[in-house]
Amino acid sequence: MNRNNRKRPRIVFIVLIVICVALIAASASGNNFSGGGRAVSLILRPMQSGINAIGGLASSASEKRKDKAMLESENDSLRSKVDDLQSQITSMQQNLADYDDLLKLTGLSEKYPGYKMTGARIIGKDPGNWYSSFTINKGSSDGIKVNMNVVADDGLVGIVTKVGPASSVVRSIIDDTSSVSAMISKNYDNCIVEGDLKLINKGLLNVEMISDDTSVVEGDEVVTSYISDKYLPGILIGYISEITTDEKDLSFHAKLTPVVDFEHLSTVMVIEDLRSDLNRSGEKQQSSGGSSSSGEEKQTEK
Amino acid sequence: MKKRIFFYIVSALILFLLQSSLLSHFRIADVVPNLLVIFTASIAIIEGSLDGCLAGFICGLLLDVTYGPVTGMYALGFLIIGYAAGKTNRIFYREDITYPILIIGASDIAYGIYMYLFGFLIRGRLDFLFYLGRIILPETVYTVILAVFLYRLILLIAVRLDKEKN
Repeated sequence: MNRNNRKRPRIVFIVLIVICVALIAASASGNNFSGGGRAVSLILRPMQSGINAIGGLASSASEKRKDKAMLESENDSLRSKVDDLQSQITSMQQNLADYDDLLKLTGLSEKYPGYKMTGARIIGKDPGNWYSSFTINKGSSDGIKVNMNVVADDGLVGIVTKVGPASSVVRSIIDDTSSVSAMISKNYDNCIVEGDLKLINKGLLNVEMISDDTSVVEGDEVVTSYISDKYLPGILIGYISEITTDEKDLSFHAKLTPVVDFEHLSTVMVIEDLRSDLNRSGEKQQSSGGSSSSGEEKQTEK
Repeated sequence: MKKRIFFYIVSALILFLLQSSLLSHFRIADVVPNLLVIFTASIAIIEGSLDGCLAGFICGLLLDVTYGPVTGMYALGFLIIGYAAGKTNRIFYREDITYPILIIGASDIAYGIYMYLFGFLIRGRLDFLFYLGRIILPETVYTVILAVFLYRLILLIAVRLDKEKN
């Protein structure tokens, strides 16, 4: 740089700042510039999945080199755990038999009857440390749309926030900006499950109860609620794990352990039914007993 | 100039891919280092504010269209870092490694504070010290260690590009 363009950086800086602020303003008012994002994601996608595979291999190789001593102590603790679990299994089997009987009564044969799902592989994660979103290898050409719910291990993982032609970004429920309208499945108490960066290390989420006079206890099952506008109802999120009562205002604070292991997630299932579609054809489904029929109808219409 | 902008775009893509697909498997103390901050600050130190701005804007925009919760947020942060780091370009010799490392470290701390202010404080997360200890400082340490190697590489390429121009 020589002296006569000493002013140039400042001008460029100011121009770019104006562009940034304009982008932020436009994006805050709803425009998410999917065009440019789509083009970039299309270029990145094949490379991302390739590099991700290498990373997966390397990290699994380093995991194999665990200490022998560590394995031995782990073996001991696992043995005692097996005994514990064995006794638990027998009592659970009893419960399961009861559960089967009840299921027959209510006619719910499956956990998520008839949601149309598609599997996807995780090919990249948010490159920073502040947010918890990841990229999957399916996009609009596979029928993925924004706001589709994502599940794994029978539990809620997150929601699709951006869609490219061959990849899409999923914001997981442990993300600090995520909040899911949920309910305690035993008594339909409404609550909000919020991600919290402070709790990510402990693998927990915050639960904010709507009502104060609730009979929630540790171990209660939490599922997505019927009043949510983005999440399909009845998807398992996790179990209440910590309940504290504020001494001053007697308000409830609860934590939740998700059923999904977010640390070791590599494949997920995307539910192709959207909550907004469900609202529209809600009555039809109740009479036909599942949303699979409505999904098939939609396909034939096309 | 065109050649250099092309170099910035390609480098930003490569570093972004490394960071999102490879380094996320190698978290240390549960953080990922920030290669794009290293790149932006290094270019700013070597080439000055103008190039710092451009490199930062490219890096930020790439993050915005892929993962950004709000388009423009990352771009603005990287832009400011590139400009500010570039201001120090005249003061020191770029071949001396200690000073660039210090600036890169400071840039990463500034980036962390920026992310906290615009992503978290805005939503009422007040416990700054927690985020400082949990994310900003570990990320800076990890980033600075990688910067020792990456800065030399970027310097090598940038000097060669300058020579071709003359």
